[in-house]
Amino acid sequence: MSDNGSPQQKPEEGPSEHLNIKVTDNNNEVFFKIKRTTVLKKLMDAFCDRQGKNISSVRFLFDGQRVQPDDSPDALDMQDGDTLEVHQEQIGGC
Amino acid sequence: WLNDAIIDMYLQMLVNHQRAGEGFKPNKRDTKAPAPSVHSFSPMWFKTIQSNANSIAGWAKAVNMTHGRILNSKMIFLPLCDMSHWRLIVIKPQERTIEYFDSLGARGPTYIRAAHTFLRVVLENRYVASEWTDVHEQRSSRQVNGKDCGVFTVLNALVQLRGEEPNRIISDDGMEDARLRITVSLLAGKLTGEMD
Repeated sequence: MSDNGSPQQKPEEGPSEHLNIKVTDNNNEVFFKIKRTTVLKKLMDAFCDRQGKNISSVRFLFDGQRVQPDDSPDALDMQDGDTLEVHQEQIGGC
Repeated sequence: WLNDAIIDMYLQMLVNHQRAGEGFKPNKRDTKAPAPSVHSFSPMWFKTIQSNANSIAGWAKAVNMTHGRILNSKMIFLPLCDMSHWRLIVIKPQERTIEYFDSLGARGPTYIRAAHTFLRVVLENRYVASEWTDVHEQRSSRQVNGKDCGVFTVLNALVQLRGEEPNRIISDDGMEDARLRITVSLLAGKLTGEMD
């Protein structure tokens, strides 16, 4: 992590209220700036809208684990600059 | 047919049950914490290995498996769906074995290779190919139709966790009893007797 040494930032205050999250499906990258307490559903919906995807046909993973729509960055311990991976649903039987 | 959400959620329930029995609590913030004894990675690992293998290191870090700590785990499940067919890789890091379970009876060299790539990314310079044994015999029970592979995939994981032989799984057309049990447990949010 970089240390910008900014005098206004006291370490006691903890992480800033907003963070930048990259959402990528390996073809497209979209950057979102959201509050730490905002549920990720907003970002998932926005990504799907922009890419023309149906939200039920994709999976969002953070560090390899499935993200639920009502998770927030705080709940998942996300840091500024973290990435959400978007994967297509998989179905198999034969 | 089953989708990735069902497979993943059920396998998570199996490993969580096993971990709870061992008193293990995941702690992402404690970077010195030991790796879980059992773990199931997302079915998306296979496509990720093919397209963006290095990001698997982040997956492993999140579950304390980097810096060689994966080698302390007893059992790791890598479920995958390729060409509309569910299959299961089981890695036993302590024993250094990689086994491929396929209810259609195939040998799966492609998937075993992908598992080696997975280990290479996670272990970095601790990966020594010659330490690892690939199990070439296909031990999975066989599905008798064109729709049950997802059920066999999670049942193969279950019998491995129970320390039983793969032929403990009795094939029938539709695997209705197993499907019902899986459904009941998923709705209950916990296992309903599978590990008892």
